[in-house]
Amino acid sequence: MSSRIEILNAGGYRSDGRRQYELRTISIDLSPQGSGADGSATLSHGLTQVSVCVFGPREAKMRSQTYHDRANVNVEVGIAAFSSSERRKRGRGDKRILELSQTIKATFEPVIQTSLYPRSQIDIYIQVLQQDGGLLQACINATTLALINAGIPLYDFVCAVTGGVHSTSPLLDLTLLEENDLPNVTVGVMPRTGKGRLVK
Amino acid sequence: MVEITIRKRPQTEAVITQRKFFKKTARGKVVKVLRERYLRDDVGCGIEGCRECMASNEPLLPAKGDLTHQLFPNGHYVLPDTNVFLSQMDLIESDRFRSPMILLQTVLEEVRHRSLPLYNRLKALTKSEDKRIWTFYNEYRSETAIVREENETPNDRNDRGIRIATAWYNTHISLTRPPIRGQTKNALPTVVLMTEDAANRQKAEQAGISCISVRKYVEGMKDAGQLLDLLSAAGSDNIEPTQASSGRQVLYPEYLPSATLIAGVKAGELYQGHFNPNPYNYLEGTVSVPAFSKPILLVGRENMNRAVQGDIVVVELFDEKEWKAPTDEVVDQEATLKNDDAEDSGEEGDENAEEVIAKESRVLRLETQVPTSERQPTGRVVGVIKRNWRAYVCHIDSTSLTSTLTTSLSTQTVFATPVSRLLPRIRLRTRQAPSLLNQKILVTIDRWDTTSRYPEGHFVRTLGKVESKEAEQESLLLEFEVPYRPFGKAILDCLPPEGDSWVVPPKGDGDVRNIWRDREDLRDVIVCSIDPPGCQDIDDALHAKLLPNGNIEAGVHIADVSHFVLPDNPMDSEAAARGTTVYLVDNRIDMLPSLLGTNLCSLRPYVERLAFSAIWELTPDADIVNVRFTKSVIQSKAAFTYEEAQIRKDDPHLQDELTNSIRLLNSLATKLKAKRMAAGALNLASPEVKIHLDSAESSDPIDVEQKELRETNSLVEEFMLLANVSVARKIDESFPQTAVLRRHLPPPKTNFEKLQDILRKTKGMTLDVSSSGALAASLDKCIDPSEPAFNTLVRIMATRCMLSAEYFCSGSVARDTFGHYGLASDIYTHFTSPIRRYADVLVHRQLAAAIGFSPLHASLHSKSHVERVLDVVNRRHRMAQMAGRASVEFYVGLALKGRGEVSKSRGEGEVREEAFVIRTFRNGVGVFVSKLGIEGLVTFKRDTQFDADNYTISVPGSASTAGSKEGVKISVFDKVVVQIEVEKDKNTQRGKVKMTLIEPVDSRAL
Amino acid sequence: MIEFTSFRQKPETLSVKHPEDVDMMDLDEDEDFLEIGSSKITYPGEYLTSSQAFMRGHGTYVDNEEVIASVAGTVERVNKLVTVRAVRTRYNPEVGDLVVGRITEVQPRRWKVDANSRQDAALMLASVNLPGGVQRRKLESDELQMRTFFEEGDLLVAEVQAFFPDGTMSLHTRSLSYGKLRNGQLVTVPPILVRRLKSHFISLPCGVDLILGLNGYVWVSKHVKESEREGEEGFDAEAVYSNQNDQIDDSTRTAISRVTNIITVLASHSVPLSDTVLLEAYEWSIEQETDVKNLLQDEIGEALVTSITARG
Repeated sequence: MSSRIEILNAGGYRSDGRRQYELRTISIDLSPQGSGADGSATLSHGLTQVSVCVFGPREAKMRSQTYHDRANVNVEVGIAAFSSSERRKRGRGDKRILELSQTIKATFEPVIQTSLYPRSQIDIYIQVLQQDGGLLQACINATTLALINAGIPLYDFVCAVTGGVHSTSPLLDLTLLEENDLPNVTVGVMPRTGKGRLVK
Repeated sequence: MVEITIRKRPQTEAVITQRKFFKKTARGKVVKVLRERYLRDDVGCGIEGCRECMASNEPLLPAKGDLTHQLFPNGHYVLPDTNVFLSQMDLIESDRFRSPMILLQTVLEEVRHRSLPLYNRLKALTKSEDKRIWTFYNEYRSETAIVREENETPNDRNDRGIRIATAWYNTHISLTRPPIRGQTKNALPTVVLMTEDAANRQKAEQAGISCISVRKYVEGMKDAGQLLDLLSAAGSDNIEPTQASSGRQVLYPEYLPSATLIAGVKAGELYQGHFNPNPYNYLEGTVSVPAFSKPILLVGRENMNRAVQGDIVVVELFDEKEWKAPTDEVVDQEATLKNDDAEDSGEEGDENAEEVIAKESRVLRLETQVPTSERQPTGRVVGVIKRNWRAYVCHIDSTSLTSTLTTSLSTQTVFATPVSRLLPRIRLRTRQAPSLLNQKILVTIDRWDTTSRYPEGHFVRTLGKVESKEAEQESLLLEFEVPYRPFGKAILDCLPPEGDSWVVPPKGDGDVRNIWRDREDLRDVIVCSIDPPGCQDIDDALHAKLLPNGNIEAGVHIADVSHFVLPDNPMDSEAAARGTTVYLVDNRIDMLPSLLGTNLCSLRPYVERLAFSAIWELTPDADIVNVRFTKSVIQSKAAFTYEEAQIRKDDPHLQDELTNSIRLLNSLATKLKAKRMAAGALNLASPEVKIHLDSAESSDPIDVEQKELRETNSLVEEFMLLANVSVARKIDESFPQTAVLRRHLPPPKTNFEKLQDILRKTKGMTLDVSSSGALAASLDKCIDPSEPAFNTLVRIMATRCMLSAEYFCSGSVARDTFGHYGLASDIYTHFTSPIRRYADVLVHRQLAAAIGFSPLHASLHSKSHVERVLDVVNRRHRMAQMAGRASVEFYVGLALKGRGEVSKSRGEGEVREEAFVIRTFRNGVGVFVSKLGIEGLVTFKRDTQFDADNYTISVPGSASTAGSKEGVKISVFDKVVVQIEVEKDKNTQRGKVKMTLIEPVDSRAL
Repeated sequence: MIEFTSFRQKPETLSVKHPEDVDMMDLDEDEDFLEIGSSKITYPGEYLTSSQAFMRGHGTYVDNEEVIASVAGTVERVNKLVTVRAVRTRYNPEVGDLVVGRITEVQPRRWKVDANSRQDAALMLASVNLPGGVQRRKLESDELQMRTFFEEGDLLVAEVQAFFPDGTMSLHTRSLSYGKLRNGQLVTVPPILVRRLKSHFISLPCGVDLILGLNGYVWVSKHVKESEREGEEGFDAEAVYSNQNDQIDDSTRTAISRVTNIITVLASHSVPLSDTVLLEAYEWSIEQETDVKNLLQDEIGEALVTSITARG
């Protein structure tokens, strides 16, 4: 337990001045990233910043990865070395990155109407620019926006937010500081059906 | 459904609201730190009736401020800065200091950063009902949030923040209360910045902020006289500079800088641990560190270097050549330093000081050659990581007063001697010294400079006259940090609204609260309770009956406290903080409000009560066939004392159901006990005595006797153990990560070394400590046919070698350390006394969840939360035991005094009792009076022959036997006769049990 | 940059100009998104109407008897057919569309062409004109030297001929105006910005020719003189599959770059491309006497767009 910072003080404020159920400021930039992507979004939750580019549906690079009845969704995550508090280069095979991309892929595959695009491929490239907690939620929200921006048909979109529990009080949208101290869970839901897409 | 909003942090404010910087860590890594801050406009000012700030549920500050201060006739609020809290906490805590206060977040955080104990005290203050403190989160309010400027130290930044917040408050007050047309301009209260920092005051004045120093402020208050005494020495520095401190002789080495300490500890060159003074010798202390099996010895004032009991210190080790063994001598601080003058001590060229040093070094030089094997690592304190200073109960040393005229109100410096032998004398300045004589007072240490031999402190409050029971009791509670304030309103609000007319509702339609849901109706079962006489909080009851198949059904019914104490309400938090009920001889400090403890939860006879039952089916050989747990409603048929139950059981004429079930229970208990003993459980002894009180009102003790144990005691005990073990298995199975369990670690073998050695050398006996079973067996063999009490004595000494049992969370320690050494059980918990132990309440909740009665509260799923609660409970438990013991000791003292007076009046002389020697020193022996359960120390002034190897001491014969040169040999375990008297210390007025040896030699002349 | 202050607020409308006014038929429905002239913007998962009264079209799906949007875009209705046109999307080919594409692969008797669609298009060897006239028969030797006609990376202009059963489109270049592209530069824009026009071959008076591929690929090249058009006397039949650029003078190069940059700027501001718009923009940039590269600066780009939209 870090003794220096109080997660939730007696006045009901968190270490950054928010109350329990307040989310950090969100800013969204949907302008094209210059790479000719079909859809892109740069999203920040507070100081966590993620940029997502979506390509496709397009001809699959590897024919072996195509399906005759639906499109293949390919998710690649890159975490910039300067994004975390300790400068660290993560390779492609990094377990954490693989887990993250698998989670995102599993989240979006059933949401995208892949059956409309047999034999093609949808590439989602996620670049993490800065991390201050809620990485997964930022990745999911940014991916949703980029997919919409790319005009890819979806059954619904996915919104995600992280929640944690401090003693018995729930907190939303945790910062890195809070994430380190609290048990937390990221929940993704589809607003239309209200169904959960992900609990992690 | 809660409302979820997104805070907006405009880009334009990014300069103040977000920070990104790189930081170099201690290990030399560069770390990127990201922080942001959301500024808001809804942070309330906390003043009653403010039209802009939202009203909150918390108590607000009065709209008019405080009108009693001379300097501020229009009313005012105080806004103290950090240093005021750091140095003047006692002033703020005083009941007389009642000004409405604004506590800034900046200040709160700085206090927390600087001292956690002070922070906790401050937090407690903000919650207390008779203080008017509003915490203003200035760092989150958009107008008052500031950023550190370039070239600004963090301190300056905070000071500036405090000034800005003060200014904001003043404008806020004037803006929200504009003058009403046609009326005279209404007088607005001022917010006054209270600070000791002259530079800060100057800056504030320049900015037009009204500010004041603590002293000046207090002088203008109503109760200035009493309050001024509470001003701590640290704060008054700049007001009345004392003699140039450079001119003073430096008595102690300076501490090393903290970075060096931390690095040293990390590198393994220095050692960190709690400072533990030797109660027999004030010039010696030890620090236990994991690196050595024996604690590090610190010899001499200089090497202890201003460490006070409980401080976390860093120790540097000496060369192995210089290692020493602990002295075997009793060195009393008061005797040695009697003449030290409080006013002068520590000044240069002070003859007195040199004398003291000479005396002390003489004491230390007495060191003789000891075999290297007995030497302990020896070192010196080079720094203090964390001070653990609190308020200490003290007496004023009457000799240190310059004037004892009660009319004299001049400030004088006096010594306060703490009640605890582990603490040094504290120097304090007071105006009311004469009136404090013969009083128990509370004193806090403020600082301990290198130039001062003693720590400096200040007076907090008086507890009452010495030896008055109230004062003694309160001082006892304070010494052991027992929370004893009456329960607050918020806590009492958690009780059932029906109060003592609450009853179990009739089953069926009348049960509006659904109390009967999933509860078994056991009202017809013949249940009874067996407790000590006068017991009010009956938390257990028993029943047993024969089943048709020849087996026996036995049930233990425990008060269903968790039905009334719901998780996470004020009552629950208070109970968690108290941890346990504390039993003193004439008083009980309850963990739960008495309505619950002695009424609604207490399983009183003939009324229906809610219970949590564990019901076994046992074979006649007491093997468990099955066990089940259920919430139930019972109606106890009788409440027996141990004695009554015993008589009933032994009376062959009684053949009613109740008596038979007691017999049944007893037969099972005997078998259970036999099994337990066979498994290697220890039968340990501790000196338990019973105080006879005259009557409830006067509560003057008449006599002391050892507690008697009956068969029925063991009956209840066996079933409680059975219930605890069964419950422990159940909850551990259901919640392997967070089950609340209790364990008793096997003691390290080295603990027994000395006892084994003594036994071997003096009695030729051996003690096998390889396992608890072996120990139990070898303890049984330690019998001296001529001395029946000897076995008990060995048991007591063996008990002292053991570790104490503790609560723990099942997920936090390795499974193979779950065992309970003393009970020889692989798993154990406490389930049976939820009225008086908080751990049991937790266990109840977990068990209720385990049987599917109710879902487990979220907090009990969190390992860290359970650990935190259990840490507190463990500490409270220890403290409560110590407080209980100290209370007994006090009453034993009183009883002795009474007895002594009686026998004196009859002309029989002083009280004499048989005692055993349990320890030998160079100049005295430690004795244990088993009849009274007290320990005492007999010192000899004349030279003695001391043989450390054989634990014997030779005392030259008394005057009558002066001819014999040999003297009389006394060794450990010898039976002696001591004369016990209660003597008042001339200086401190502290009643003290004094023992002198009568047989085999009369030490009065020695 | 969009900032939300609260979740409850509706997502702000994206600043997208619509290429076409939504063309609506007479209405007998009360659902206001189907009103004439209202360009209602949807988000994926948004309920549109009941599936009993309407038929679902592109950009929608049916779940539980409800027609639901699957993309963010504008709702369009033709009789009982409800479609949502995505704000941005990949190119959706239709037969007869003119596209610009790039060869990605050479396969037996066919080329694979990237035409910015969901899958690469196929250009059958049978669907191209070979040197030597329209009537020339394809020989086995032609199959062996397919790379001499088109090789990987070559750009071409073609028309969508048909669809294969799996949805891939098939192209043809059997017209003299189609074929390999040279003497110019490719610009990519969102496909939605290229409207269907009478002619997708535009000649600007500044000596620049444009081919507006409906798939969002735009070819900007040196003007081909009337006399050198195919079928005319100056037509060099041998150059049809040439990989060599002609001599291009500096002024033409500048003009090509200027047009390219104008298209980039217009596309980034979501201005639909047409000959008039391009011409106006070109004139404006000449009037402003801005340097070609300065066009890409934000302020100048914005000024350009405002002047165009004001006029249009």
